[in-house]
Amino acid sequence: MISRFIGGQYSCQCKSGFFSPEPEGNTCLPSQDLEIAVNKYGATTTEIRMKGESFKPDIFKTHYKYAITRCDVWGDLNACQLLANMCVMTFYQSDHATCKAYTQIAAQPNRTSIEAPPLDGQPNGLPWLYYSPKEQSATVRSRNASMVVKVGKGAPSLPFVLGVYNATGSFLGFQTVTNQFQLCPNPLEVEQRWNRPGNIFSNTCNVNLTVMSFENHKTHFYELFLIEDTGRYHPVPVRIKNIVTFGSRPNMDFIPSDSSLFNRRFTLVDTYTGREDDVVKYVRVPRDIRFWFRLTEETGKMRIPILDIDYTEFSISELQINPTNITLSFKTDYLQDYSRMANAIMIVFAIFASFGAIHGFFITRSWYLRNKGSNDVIDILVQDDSYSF
Amino acid sequence: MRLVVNICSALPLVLYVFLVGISWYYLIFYKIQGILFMIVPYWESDVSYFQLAVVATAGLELVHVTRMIYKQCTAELFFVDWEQAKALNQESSESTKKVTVSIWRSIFMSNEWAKLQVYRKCDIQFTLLGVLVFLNVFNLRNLGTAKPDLEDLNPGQMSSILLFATDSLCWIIMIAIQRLFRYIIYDRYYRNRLNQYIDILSLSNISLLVFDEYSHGFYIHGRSVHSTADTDMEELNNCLLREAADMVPRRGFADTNQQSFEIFVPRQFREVFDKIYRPSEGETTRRMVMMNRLTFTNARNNPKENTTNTGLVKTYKAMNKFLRTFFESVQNTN
Repeated sequence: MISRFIGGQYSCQCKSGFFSPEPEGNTCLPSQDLEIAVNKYGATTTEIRMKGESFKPDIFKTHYKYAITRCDVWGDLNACQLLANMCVMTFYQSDHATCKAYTQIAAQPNRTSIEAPPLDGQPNGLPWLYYSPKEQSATVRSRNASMVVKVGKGAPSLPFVLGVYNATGSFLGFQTVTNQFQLCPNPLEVEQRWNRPGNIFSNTCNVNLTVMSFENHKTHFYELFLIEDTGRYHPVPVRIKNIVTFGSRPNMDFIPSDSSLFNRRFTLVDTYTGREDDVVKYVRVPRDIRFWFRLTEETGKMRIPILDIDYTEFSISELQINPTNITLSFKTDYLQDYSRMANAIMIVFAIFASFGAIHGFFITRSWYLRNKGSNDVIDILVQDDSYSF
Repeated sequence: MRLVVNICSALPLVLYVFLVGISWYYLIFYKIQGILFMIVPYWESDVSYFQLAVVATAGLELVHVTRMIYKQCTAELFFVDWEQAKALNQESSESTKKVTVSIWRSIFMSNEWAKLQVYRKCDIQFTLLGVLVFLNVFNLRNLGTAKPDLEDLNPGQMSSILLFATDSLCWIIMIAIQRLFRYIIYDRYYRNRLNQYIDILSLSNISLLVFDEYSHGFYIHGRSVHSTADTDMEELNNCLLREAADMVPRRGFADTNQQSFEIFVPRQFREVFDKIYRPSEGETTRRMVMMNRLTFTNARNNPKENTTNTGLVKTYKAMNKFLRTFFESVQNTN
């Protein structure tokens, strides 16, 4: 690569001939490989919309061709991670060039998806974004965690870990989940109570967002796992509320349903997607994060949890003028089928109510006999002290 | 209407027992479970029926309390004065004159009765204070948090069912403590206000007849076993000494120890009672007159009432005579 200083600015160029003239992703790519990738997946990405405005993020401009070329032609896993992250940035928008490219690569014969649980649809040698279409919703929702959930004093917390990637696709390692999802400041001891089994947890706050809130923030991409009793990392499906597919928003139901779309990768506070011309223009904040835990009929068993994330976006220029108040919340919710219990309660209620009504009838009848019936003789009874007062 | 009110009065208790049962079930089994098998309902949709039942129970209890207060306020009562007018020998004129019986004893007894109207076996201030201490000082309020750990009293997401369970538990504990204390210690070794009232009625030589229904009521036999009750300290003391030495008959009805009775009277008796109690005027007018005569200003400004008051005095005397005769005859037949 050759560096030039022209007109007061540095620019880089690749050696002509073997490489394409312009570097892609700060790297010179062989022109032949680049041509193959561009012919397959297109030369440019479409814009994305944030805060109602269309723009092309820097990462799309500089790294798209790099990602598709190195991922598809070279089989570079790091580049595939980058491509996957780009797709995540679009909220898994299926008609976006990045997601299309990922889907096409994932559909290649050598990438045959793993259909065995828990990896329902993970392509071979590629990061996992989408659950297999036939494994979506009902199957994903109904899968049990192979663990016995103990509660009470001394019981272990539910062990979650996060696989962490940086924006350019490098794997940074696994993190034990403690308070990463909680953007509201609280003592760590309080924040760590969220994953105690059976604990309905809520950490909500109203914060004043300013530009300062996002300075020096590093955006990471995450994959969530639950560690089962066997030690296996079971992937936790993520339901991003903001996803739009074919003009509709399938994840707007409050509780995950059979029509929900589940994915794998997500961000928390994202200051990376909204960068244009090396300036952060938009930020994305998860205003509502919610874990759904669902109990099964079997004692001590539960289904694989589901993570819900609802994002909101802010324009930095607006924040500079007016700091914005936003309510951030992190909650854990539990679902259980109460129908049998409800039926039993209704029967008991009916018995109690009937008893009360019969007692009311009896009181009325006694009153009637005392005051309206034939009572010719005087009857004096010893009074019990506890009758009144 | 009476049937509806009676059902409304009977339902709150059974509904409360039902709600306490349900909430305690969740409190116990959710909090002490070792392996997760149940979650306390906390979603609005899941607890809406429970909350509705709580509101309904409170509403029905309000009907019940209103009915109880109405019954208490409209009960008809009469203080039967057994005291005989004393003969006074005036030496100067050498003639015998009867001294009238003081009405103050009856007024004192009715005043004590009025105080007893608000007397309860449980002290509401103490109960509230106790509940407050349990909930906020001992932090038991946090038993209402949706956390399956009995020992974890840290703040958290509240469950309305568990909160109801905790709250009702504190109330029941406080009431049970007071009832037990009153039953085992206070009433037995210190004082029992109801028994004291019966005692003071006996000392005052006054019986009390209460009708809470047309043919149903209560009778406290307060006829003194001594010759007179309207007397000085010395004679009263002598009377009590004689009673302590068992030199007088027993205080109860027909020389028994029973002084308080629940009574069921025949219609004929009640008709006579009403005839004397409400001679000519309507019930409302009678009550208004009774209320007005208690106000000195009103009596002074309204001299017309003097005639009405005279009627009331006659009514009182007639009723007193009727009831004395009636109970004496009943006593003599036993």
